[in-house]
Amino acid sequence: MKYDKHTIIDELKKLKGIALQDDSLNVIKERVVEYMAFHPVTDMQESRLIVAQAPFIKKCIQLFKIMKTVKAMVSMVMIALLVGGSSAAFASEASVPGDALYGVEQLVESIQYGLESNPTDKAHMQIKFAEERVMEMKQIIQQDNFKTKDLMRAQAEFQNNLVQVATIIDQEKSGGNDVTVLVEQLAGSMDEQKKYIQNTFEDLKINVIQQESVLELVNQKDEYIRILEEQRDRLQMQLNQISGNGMLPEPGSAFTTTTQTHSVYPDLPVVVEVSETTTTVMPPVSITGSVFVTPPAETVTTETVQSGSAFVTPPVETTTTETIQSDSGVVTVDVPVITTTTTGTGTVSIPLSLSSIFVIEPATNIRRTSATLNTVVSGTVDAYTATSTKGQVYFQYGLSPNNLNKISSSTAPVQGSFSQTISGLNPATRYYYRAVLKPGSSTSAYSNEYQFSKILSFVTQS
Amino acid sequence: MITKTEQNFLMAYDEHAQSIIRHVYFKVSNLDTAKDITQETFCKAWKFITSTSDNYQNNKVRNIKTFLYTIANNLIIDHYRKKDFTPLSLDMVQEKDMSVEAEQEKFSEYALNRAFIEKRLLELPKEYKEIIMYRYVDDLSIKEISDLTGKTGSNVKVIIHRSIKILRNNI
Repeated sequence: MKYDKHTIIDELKKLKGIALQDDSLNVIKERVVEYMAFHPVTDMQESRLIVAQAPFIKKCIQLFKIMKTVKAMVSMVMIALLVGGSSAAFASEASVPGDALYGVEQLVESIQYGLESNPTDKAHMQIKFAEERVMEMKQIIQQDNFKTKDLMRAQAEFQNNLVQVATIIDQEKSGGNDVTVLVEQLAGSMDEQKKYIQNTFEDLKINVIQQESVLELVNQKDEYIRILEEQRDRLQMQLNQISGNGMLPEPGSAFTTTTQTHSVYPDLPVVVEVSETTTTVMPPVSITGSVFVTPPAETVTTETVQSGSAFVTPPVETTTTETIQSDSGVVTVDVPVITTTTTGTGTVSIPLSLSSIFVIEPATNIRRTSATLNTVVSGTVDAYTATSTKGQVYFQYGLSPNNLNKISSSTAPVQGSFSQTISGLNPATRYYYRAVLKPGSSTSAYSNEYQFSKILSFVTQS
Repeated sequence: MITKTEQNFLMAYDEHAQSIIRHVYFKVSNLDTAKDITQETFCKAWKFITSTSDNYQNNKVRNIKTFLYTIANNLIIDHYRKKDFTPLSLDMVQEKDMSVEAEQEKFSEYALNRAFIEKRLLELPKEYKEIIMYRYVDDLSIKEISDLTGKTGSNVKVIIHRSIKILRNNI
């Protein structure tokens, strides 16, 4: 069935029939009149409201209606005067938040926000709003006798904006989207904002030095920064979790792809220096690696030693420097290997960063479709190894160092060696892998930190 | 003693309160909330008019009708924010409104063609729906709609024309 245009418009106009029939409108009107009584117009504002001239008859009818409300208004004023200035009528004023202009500004914001559907832009927009809140707080404070109420409101809005940001990110993340970049950007903006707040309130200290509330303000500043940092930390934590879920950092130095390191210390910091010479096509390369070995306090019984690794009784500290020259442009670097008898006594720990608390070992038992991956947990960070707060150790592997998309089964780590056999591999293919240490549920400082080993590779048999 | 401004404002109340409360009601689908928002709309409008702050000393309200709609829309958005709703979710809200009947008892209803509303009107794109409601239910002029939505007058006209076309053809 088709309608013609006029039927359509008639149908639409019928909606106008949905109109309030009881006296609610009059009740509201009385309250508005009451409100008006406490906000009288001044002469200057007389011409503020411009009303189009209504037809004469309509005007008469309206005038008649007004006469009724005038009575109501007068009586309200009388009552208010009798009861006193702070009568209940003022309560309605308090419920109108802030400044009228504030509402208009928020309107613009809301509309902008409502029209924006992209969550990333929404998050950025909220950050921008938060900045405006800070600006508003500054403006409020700079007024001669500002109301704490207004300040509180701006502050609440400020906090709300930041919470919104975090909520958007939560939603995005649970929706399975990659939010790394967004989180980084937002964390950056928040840092800027922190500076801005600090500057803003530094200025203010000078401006309002004579006011009693200066001290209060300084405390307020700390409060804003606290809120900001709280939200920032939340973002940062999310970022950590994201990177713990398989977002890989760039693989190590420039040589990782051309280097096969089969040493006991593959995690050594290898410093590569390129020095200028005139004699070769490619610059000669000097490799410097430092080996720090802490001797054990007492003799430790060794467990089964994986091939390629060794427990050593080492010198206190060794530094090795080698210089390699290459014309072909391909440099193969062997990180210095300490060879001692495998029946040594003691444990090796590499006192570098936390990431050194476990060491990846070369793969063993490499067959056509399977291999055994090995790692040694050597650190003593309770969050990972304490029996009460067991974490997990497992391997990530894949066809490219940037895409370790498969995961081996996991084990609870204790100090010592770990091996996992992975299968279902393609023959004659290079696989990259690394070990991952997942923290246990501990209140330790490291409880949110996943640890990743260096990436190694092996080639399955053909 | 009643001033000219007060007189004009109360006139505006009588003229627009019914439309404003209906407009709000369509969007919040709760009669009490609609009443509250309507009251706050007028209080805010009055506060703006009587404000003595320097910032808007020279601001004049030239069209009280669109001014009121603007404030009301703002408050509706605030309302949804407070309730943790997505702001401006007109689609969702209106669909709910039209089928909620419990509270409509206090509203008089002409013989509305429910099929028309549910099958045709509610299926319009959000933007179209809003503009066509402004035009025919709230009786706003093209100029006023253009001020409220930020679209050009001709764009508004085109949207109205298209909306009617869609409404005619939808079966």
